[in-house]
Parts: sequence; C-alpha cells; structure tokens
Amino acid sequence: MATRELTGRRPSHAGRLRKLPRVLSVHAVAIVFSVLCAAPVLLVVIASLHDSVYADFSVRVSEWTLTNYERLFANEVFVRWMLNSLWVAAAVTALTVAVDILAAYAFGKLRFAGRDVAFRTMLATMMLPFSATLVPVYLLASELGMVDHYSGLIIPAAAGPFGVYLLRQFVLGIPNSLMEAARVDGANHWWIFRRVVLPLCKQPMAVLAIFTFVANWNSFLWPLLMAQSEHMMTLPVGIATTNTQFTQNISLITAGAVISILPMAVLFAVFQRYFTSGVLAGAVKS
Amino acid sequence: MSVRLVGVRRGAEAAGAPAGPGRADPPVRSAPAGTRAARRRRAGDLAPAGVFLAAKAVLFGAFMLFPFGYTIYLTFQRGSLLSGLEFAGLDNYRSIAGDLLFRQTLWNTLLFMAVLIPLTLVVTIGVGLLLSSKVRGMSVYRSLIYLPSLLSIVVAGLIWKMLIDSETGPLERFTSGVLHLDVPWLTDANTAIVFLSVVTLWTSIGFYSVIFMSAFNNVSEDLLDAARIDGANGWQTLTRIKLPLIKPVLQVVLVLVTINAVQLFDLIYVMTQGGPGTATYTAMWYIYQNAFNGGSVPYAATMSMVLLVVTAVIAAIFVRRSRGEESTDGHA
Repeated sequence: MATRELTGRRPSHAGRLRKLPRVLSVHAVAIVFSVLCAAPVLLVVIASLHDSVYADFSVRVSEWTLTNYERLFANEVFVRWMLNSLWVAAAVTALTVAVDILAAYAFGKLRFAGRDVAFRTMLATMMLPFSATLVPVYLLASELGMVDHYSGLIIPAAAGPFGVYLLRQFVLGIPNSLMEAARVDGANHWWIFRRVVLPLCKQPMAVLAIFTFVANWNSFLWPLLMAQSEHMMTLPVGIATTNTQFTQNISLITAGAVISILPMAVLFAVFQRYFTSGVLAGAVKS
Repeated sequence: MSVRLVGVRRGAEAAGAPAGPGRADPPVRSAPAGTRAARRRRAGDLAPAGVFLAAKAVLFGAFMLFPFGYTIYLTFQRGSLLSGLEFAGLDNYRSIAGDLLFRQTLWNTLLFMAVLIPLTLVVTIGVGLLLSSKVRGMSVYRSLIYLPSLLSIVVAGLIWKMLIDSETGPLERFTSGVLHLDVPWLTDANTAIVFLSVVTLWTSIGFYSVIFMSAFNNVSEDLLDAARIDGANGWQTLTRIKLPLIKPVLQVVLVLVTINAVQLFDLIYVMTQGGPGTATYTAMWYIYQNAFNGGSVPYAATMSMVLLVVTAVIAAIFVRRSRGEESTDGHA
C-alpha cells in the first residue's frame, strides 16, 4: 500500500508479493471475527428449521422443514406482534424524523430568544440514562391513558434529543447565502424549509430514520411496560415473555427470533451504505 | 459534560453533507451578513421558530424534561400515587445508604463495567482498524460482523442461552466435550458477569467497530505516510498517530458504552432474572423490580438518581482525561 501512495503507481509484482503475508493475516483475523459474529445467528436459523421440542442444530438438510414458520404465521397472536412491531417502529420513525427536522431547522438557522439555552438543555439530556426518567414517564403515560395503547408505545419514544442534534449539524452546514437569496425573493420560512432544507438534508434524515427504525423494532423495556395485554405486545416483548403457547417448543421460539431478525437484515442489505457511512460516527464525534 | 458532544462539523462533511463553503461552521450567530437591518429582521424570528419547535418542545418537555424533574421531586416523597404522596425529606436517600441489596447492585454494575468497557474498547478498536484496512472483500466481513448489531437484545440473549444449554447447546458441548471444561456459564456469580459482558460485546461489536472504522478512515494518509518514512512501525503509527487523532470518537464511544453498561436490563431479563442469587442484580433491574413489581415508586426514583450521579461521575472522569487536548467551544 505504501508503494502506491508514495509513487502513485500500482505496486509492482514483487511489492504485492511482499505484502502477501500481511494481507493473508488480515483475512484470517477478519474471518475469525466474521464467524464469531455470524455463526450464532446461523445456528439459530438452523434450529428454527427443525420441528423439535429441544434445540436441534443438525445440518442434515433433508430433516429441515418450515413447519415452525407455518405455525407462527397461522398464529393470530404472533402475527399481531409482528404487525405491532412494524407499525410502532414505522410510526416512531416517521414522528421522530418529522418533528426533529423541524426543530433542527429552528435551532440551526433561526434566531430567537432562548435558543442556545434550549438547545444546550436538550444536549444535556442526551447523556441522561433512561432510568432517570423511566418511572415518571410511565406514570405520565398511565395518567394520560396511554398504557396498552399504540399512543403509549409510540409517542414517548419520539421525545429524545438525538435526532435534533444530528440533523442540526447538517442544517448548520447549509450556506446562509442560499437562504438569504430566497428571503430576498420574498420566500417565507416554510418555503425555505421545504425547498432548501429538506432536499439538502435527505441523507442524514435517511440515516436517522434507519437507526430509529432498527432501535424501535428491537426496543424492549418501554414496550414491555406499555403493552399490558398480549395483543399489544411487540415482537421482542412477546418473544421474551412467551407464557403459554410457545414455551413448550424451543424451535418455535427460534423461528420467531429469525422472523424478527429478517427485516433488519433486509434493511441492512438495502441501506448498507447508510449503516456504515459513518454519519452517526460523525455525529457522535465531539 | 454533554457540552463536549457538540460541534460535529467534520463528521457532517465527511458524510457528504451540504457542507457549505469549506470548513467554516456557519452558525447564524457569526454569519457575516450581520448588518443592523438583517439582525433586526432576524430578531423577529421568534414566531416562526415557535411553529417549527412546537412539536419537539411538547414531546421533549412532556417525556424528558418534566419526568426528570418529577424524578427529583419523587426522591423526597414517600407513599404511592394511589394512596397519596407525602414529604419524606431525605428518608429515601438514608434508606438507600443502608440498603445492602442496592449496594450489591451497584457493585455488580461496576464489576460489569470493569469487564465490559476495556473488552469493548480493545476489541472494537481492533476490529475497526481491521475493517479500515484496504483489503478486497472487506465489505463482506463488515456485513457479517455488523449482523449481531441488528438483533434485539432479547433475541441475542435467547441465542446465547441456547448455545450454552446444558443438553443441546453447541458451545456447552464444545467446552465440556472437547475442552473438558465445566463452565458455570450463568450459575457462578463472576462467570455470569463475564459471560453477560461477552454477550453484550457481541451485540455491539459491529456498531462500535464501524464507528471506529470511519474514524480511522478519516485519518489523513499524508500523516501516515510521513510516519512511515520516518520509520514508524505499525504499532507506533497506531498509538502515536491514529489513536490520538480519533480521541474524540473514542471518548464518545466510552460514554456510550458506559451508559449502556449502567442500564443493563434486557439481557438480565432474558438470561438471568438477576440470578444466581442476586449476583446479576443490576441497578436497572432493581429499579424495575421496585417501580413495577410491587415496590416503592419514590424509592425506585431515588435509586435512579443515585445511579445517575454514579454514571455522571464515571463519564466525567473518562471525558476529563483528555481535556485540554482540543478546544471546547461550548455550544457550537
């Protein structure tokens, strides 16, 4: 690599040969970590393809069956959990992105009394562990009659400051001259927001949307508190608290686990560049 | 401490944001277009700002600010919401000081952090470095390594419980059958803490590694070449150049790992339920038991405040470590 950077030429044959041990060791270490990370997931997929009371990891393909999946999709409660997860994660995501980009524009480009104090207050709460607000948020939600309703699963989950903080960084990066020009032409804030800010913030909004969706699809503690009845549970809550029908059959639970992983895997495959773009890395960088 | 999390311009640009003219951070405050007229016109932005902020203000106020204030209020109360609260002074704090189980949960949490934090940093920096090396096929490895980060902690816990199942668990079979080791995965206090740390690491390795990867990718090649010409070896390049340059990212990851360690709950719920005995009773688990499984709500609130102070102190120590290295510009 050094050769190429220093001379700007492709490395010679000898150079490539010299680097071979290094490249091979990089591959070796990468394979080890890939296996450590992916193998447990693969095992659970295999277990889900067996129809057995105990976990069975045998790879005899002839024994594999989709029975567990058929049973789950025929199970009204389980399908309901899936739909709940999907609806809650999508709604929290939509709400978060919409609310946060609006606020980000105000914090990034508008001048108003108390702006800095308000923004700093929001920032300070970013480091606040959920435990510090958990009890009163629950009390408030039950006071407002949100327990065991979608509103309780969705609305409090969109209160966090992170999205505002992330998007504001990008709003700040939009040249003021663009906005000044629009304003000289008589554009109002709403027009500037829609025609200038929104198009230029597509990428960070997509990143925020994806990470919000994954986080809420997987979220556990809050849905656990909000979903009192079985038909309001999300997938993780349902899987973790399975009380009646699924406990006798491990392979059925593994199929449920795989079903909860699958949409995230697809999301990752499609939007991989957002996951690994480092936008979040940049955002959390001080 | 949160102040240090501001000012992200570099990241914003690296991510291909519409970064305006060059590196300049253009907060309106320091905009050159600050003629008197322009300033006066902007002073009238309060009304539109209110429109843009309203939704977030309501959500944030109702579900972050108010609850936090109410937590503090609750710590000085006794009773329950149904039977009515009454002022209790510092009674809750006094009870906590004498609560041996809470002391144990704090100790468990600290132990967990002592294992998890160094482990996570070493492994994810290493993997981040690995992922940032320009070798063909790296994106495949990256996807596989990221996979566990896409899982719900609940699912991750179930998977690992299956792997160590005494009858059918492949990991258990390997350790007992091949290595002839009798690993008390979740039945011995210390082993359970270590095992929970490993599972937690497994669920976050992809996320943090990718953060480190892009941080390493942002380190200027010129600097690295210069170091190479001066004869620096790989280790020296890493410790003298790369790590110091990514220190801000390192700090943030530290804080994130710390916060997540303090809040360990989901894994406890699916894997140990606090056991064996109270060995994996974490603070968050104890708070949950008190608040929602028939304990005292004010007492739970007090525990969460104590936990918050402990977390804040630890995070502050981490962050202060590198103070003075870069300028804190307060609010960007």
